[in-house]
Amino acid sequence: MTATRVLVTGLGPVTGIGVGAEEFLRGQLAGRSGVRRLTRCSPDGLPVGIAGEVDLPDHLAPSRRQLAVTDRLAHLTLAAARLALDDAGLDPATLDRTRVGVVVGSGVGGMETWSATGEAYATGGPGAVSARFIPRAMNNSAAAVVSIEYGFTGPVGATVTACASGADALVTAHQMLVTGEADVVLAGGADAPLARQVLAGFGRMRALSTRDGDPAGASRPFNADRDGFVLAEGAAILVLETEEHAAARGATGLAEFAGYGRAADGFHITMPQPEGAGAARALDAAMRRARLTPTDVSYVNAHGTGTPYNDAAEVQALRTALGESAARVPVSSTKSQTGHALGAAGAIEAVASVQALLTSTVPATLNLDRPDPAFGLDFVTGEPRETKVTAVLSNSFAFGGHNVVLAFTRA
Amino acid sequence: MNHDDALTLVRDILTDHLGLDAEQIVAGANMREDLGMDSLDAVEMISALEKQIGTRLDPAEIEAVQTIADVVDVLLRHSPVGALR
Repeated sequence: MTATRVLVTGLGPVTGIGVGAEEFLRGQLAGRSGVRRLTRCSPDGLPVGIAGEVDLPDHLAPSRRQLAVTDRLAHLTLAAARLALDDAGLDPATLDRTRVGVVVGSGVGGMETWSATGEAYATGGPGAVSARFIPRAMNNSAAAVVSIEYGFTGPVGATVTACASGADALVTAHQMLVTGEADVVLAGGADAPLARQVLAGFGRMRALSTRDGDPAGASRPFNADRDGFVLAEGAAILVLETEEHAAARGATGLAEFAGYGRAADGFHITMPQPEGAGAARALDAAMRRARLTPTDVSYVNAHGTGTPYNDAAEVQALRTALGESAARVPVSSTKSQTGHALGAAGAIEAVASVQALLTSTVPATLNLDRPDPAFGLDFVTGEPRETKVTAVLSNSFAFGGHNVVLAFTRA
Repeated sequence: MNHDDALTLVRDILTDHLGLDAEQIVAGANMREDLGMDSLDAVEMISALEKQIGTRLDPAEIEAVQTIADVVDVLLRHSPVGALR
């Protein structure tokens, strides 16, 4: 029996550099930055006053009713799901919706709701807490609202592995398809973390860039002068289908989701293991499952957050896993443009990875004028690079020591 | 407070707190069937009403409420004339 092939048939990115596959690709190739002065909450007194923010176009913006009953997390997710379905050319009404699953990872859940509820409770006590607090705030609300909106009643759930949540959701979806639990899965990630407490928390950890005066220049992955990541909101949903299901409706797929690898650091709650040992094992496992060798890899979409520790450990992991090929594989970081959208990041970057395959173009890392001299990888900087792209690895590493690597090949 | 005042108040609460469309909130509208309200909406609405009239409503009285007109009646029963204006 041949193994089920999993195809990516639709892309729904919702990011500060572009909403929708076409606009997101345009944003990447134009070197856009989605980072700006914070508007989702007041920056007064916060250690950092910049963030990656999303402007939803009118046709994807939440209704008054949705604004009243669901969190920003749901609004971004629903926009991503709508875009992904449209991109896949799928009409939900024509599907056996009991065979459609939904998996959406979120690192921190409905944080704007948490923040507002905390303030309401502090001033008004228990009676001031909304009956909608829990359903708005819970991490699985993102997957649930998509399931409810379209009546998708296959397996529906969430992954919660901090900044690897989106990538982990794609892994879960892959497993659902390969094991026959579903024929189609809408999978991805979403986070809407731009609340004062979250910015304060990451700021107190010294995880965030403090380049407030230069929003577009603040996210500087792999640069010698990088000083932390830039927090962002965002979402991305991908439509994954078994090859059989796609073929039956005449869809060829945008890419094959050929494999994945996962391994943990087992080391520290926030600091990556300095040699990137867990990340290297995840890279190795992803290549093996996708039947790739390091010489086959044509692009690495890095986790590349711009924190001193992540980038150093990631480079070590790539050297370990790719061996001699490490010096020649082009590497870039989407977060240099979007900022770090936590649980959405892995899914947003999966979209970027598929688009690199589709266009045979590797987007450049923004703000990488002076790569850390210790790193010595082939970072794509300045302009996007046209090159033959046949296999892409997309890295997601997370607080907690979760390492997830996705492998995409041509469909 | 007269009937129109009460209806306006209910309409304001349902549009502000629940994001419902003002034009749908008419006396004859059934909250569940016509407005799509669920049990969580009901809790939010009752909290807002109680804040307005300054007293806790009797659960049995709330249970019987089905239409916007029923909510208006509850409000009128609990509001001394002119107290809310």
